[in-house]
Amino acid sequence: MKITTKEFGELQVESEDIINFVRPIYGFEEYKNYVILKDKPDDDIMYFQSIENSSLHFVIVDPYIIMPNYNPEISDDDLAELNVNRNKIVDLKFMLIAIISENIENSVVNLKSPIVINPHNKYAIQALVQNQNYPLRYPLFKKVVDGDDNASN
Amino acid sequence: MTMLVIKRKVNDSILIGDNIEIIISEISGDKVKIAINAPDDVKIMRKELKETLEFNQNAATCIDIENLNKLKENFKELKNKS
Repeated sequence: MKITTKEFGELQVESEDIINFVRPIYGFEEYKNYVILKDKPDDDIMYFQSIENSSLHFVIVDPYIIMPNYNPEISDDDLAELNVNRNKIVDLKFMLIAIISENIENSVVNLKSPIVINPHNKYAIQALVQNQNYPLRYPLFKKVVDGDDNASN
Repeated sequence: MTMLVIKRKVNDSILIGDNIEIIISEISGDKVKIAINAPDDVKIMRKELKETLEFNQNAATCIDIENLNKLKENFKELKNKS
């Protein structure tokens, strides 16, 4: 299908690439379908473009770039929403929503509430993870700048 | 504004104003189950959910693509260095 986006123009999207939020992103309850866009195949920083709202997109980051041992605890209720068994939890894909600041060094990612995708059925939710030490605002550049991943301990 | 701290047992409750009752319904380990009686127009939300919602709204509105492209370059450079 063809979708129109404000920032990226008209795009051809395959239906199997469409991510379906079974519980929408908090604050964006009316939009359930998104697609991941990358400028280059090896980009760690990507866009999460709404199918329904041409001007709505988030910047998302692969958590393992920020924190290689990122290991969010997902509740049983959340797993049920994604229709995944606890023994299949390794299959889940995580993405962090970023706030890109004008001074880019101040940009942050949300480790507390990642987007969780079940790649088998493309169901997604925004989970509030149980880990006490994953903050809502974590510097995007912390790991890359000073190699500090103490927050993951 | 000051903070009131009080001890309560299971099935005890607290009243806030004239219409809101908070009941301690169950305690197990580090978890407490709370029941809330309040008028329909009173918004009740887990704090981290409200914070997440505000984060999302910031994330969706503050995107300057030019700035982002700059960031992506910096990010790659730093990653190559580390």
